[in-house]
Amino acid sequence: MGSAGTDVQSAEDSAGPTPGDDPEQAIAGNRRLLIAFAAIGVVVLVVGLVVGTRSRTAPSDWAGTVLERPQEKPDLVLTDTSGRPYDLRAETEGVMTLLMFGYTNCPDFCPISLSTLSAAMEDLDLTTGRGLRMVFVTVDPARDTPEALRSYLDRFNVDFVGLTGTPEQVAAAQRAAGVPPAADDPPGEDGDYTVGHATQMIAYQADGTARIVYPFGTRRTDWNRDLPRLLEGERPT
Amino acid sequence: MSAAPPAVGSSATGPVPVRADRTPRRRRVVAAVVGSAVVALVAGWVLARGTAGPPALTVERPQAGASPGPVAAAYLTVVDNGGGDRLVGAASPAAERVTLHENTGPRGVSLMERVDTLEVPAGGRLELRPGGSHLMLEGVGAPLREGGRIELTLRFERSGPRTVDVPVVGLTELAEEVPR
Repeated sequence: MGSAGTDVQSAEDSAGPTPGDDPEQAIAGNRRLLIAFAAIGVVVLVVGLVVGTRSRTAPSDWAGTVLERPQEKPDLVLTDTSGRPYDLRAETEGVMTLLMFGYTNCPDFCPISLSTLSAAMEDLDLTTGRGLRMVFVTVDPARDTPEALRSYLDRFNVDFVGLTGTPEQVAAAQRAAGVPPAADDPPGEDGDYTVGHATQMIAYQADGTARIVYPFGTRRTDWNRDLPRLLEGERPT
Repeated sequence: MSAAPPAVGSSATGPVPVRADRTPRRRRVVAAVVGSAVVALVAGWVLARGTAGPPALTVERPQAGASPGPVAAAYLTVVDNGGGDRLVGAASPAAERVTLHENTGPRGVSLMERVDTLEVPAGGRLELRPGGSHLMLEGVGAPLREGGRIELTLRFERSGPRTVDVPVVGLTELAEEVPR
């Protein structure tokens, strides 16, 4: 590179008296410069492609979003749909658990997510809840009584667990699970309101640790691909 | 042929030649200015007609999600080939109320805000889809069953009411339409 630079320099300096010889030298220098730049370009391109494809293929191996820092299953006690206390860690010990926050008057996020998971569980013959627990915590305890929760969840899967509690307990549960807290949207003139809430399903494996979450829009085929691996104890990285 | 050389020759001698020399250039400049003004006027007129003219709406791919309870959501795309419009309301015999909602939350958070209007941009499209803006059906009497159909009347500010026949689709299929 250095020599190519000086060649050009000298060609320019001595230009004039012998026009026949020096331009040729200058062209040779320029060509060397060009080749050097092209070589650098090719190296940069190859490195970029390798890095780019690596960082793209790594997460695509799993359909969900792999967590940078794994999360422990939160220590919380809420009320289940039969009105009894439900200690999440004790009740789901050794069982893979999906945790989601939502509410029964949710028009799209909750029913689409629950329906899709339910369909995949049927595909995988997990209908009896064998080996996989789905826990749905309401963020609208004012309207979602244990009975309302039960009849809602039964439309998807009778084995889905529904939990409720006082507004304080529900808020604490969201903090413990590390999701942004839900907030009621201002009610309309009819008094009805919607609730803003986190939409992901957090997947705690049998060891009680979540390494992956599933965003809203996870397809049935995504679940079919990932669930068996998670149940076998494969760790998403 | 014979007239041209003297003209050039005479122009090179006095004040006349300078003018004679300028005229063609000035003519060209004037022509260019007038030309671009005409182009600008025509373009402006076409554009203004596009935004101020009547909307030309078509409603594409309407669908409602099967409802597990008294609430459901409907989605559709409104395409405009005219001056734009606004969706200002909706109603359906299948529900007590139909309200417009916009998702204002960050990715991964459902933060539905009830809005009075949804904009159909001039020559553009308003897309209602799972996870985004939608029509919320409240007080759904008979649950919406997959394979069924409901009637939905959309009210537009300029185009007036438009009634569409909406198929009810399974919730699991709707997951496929959530943008990744």
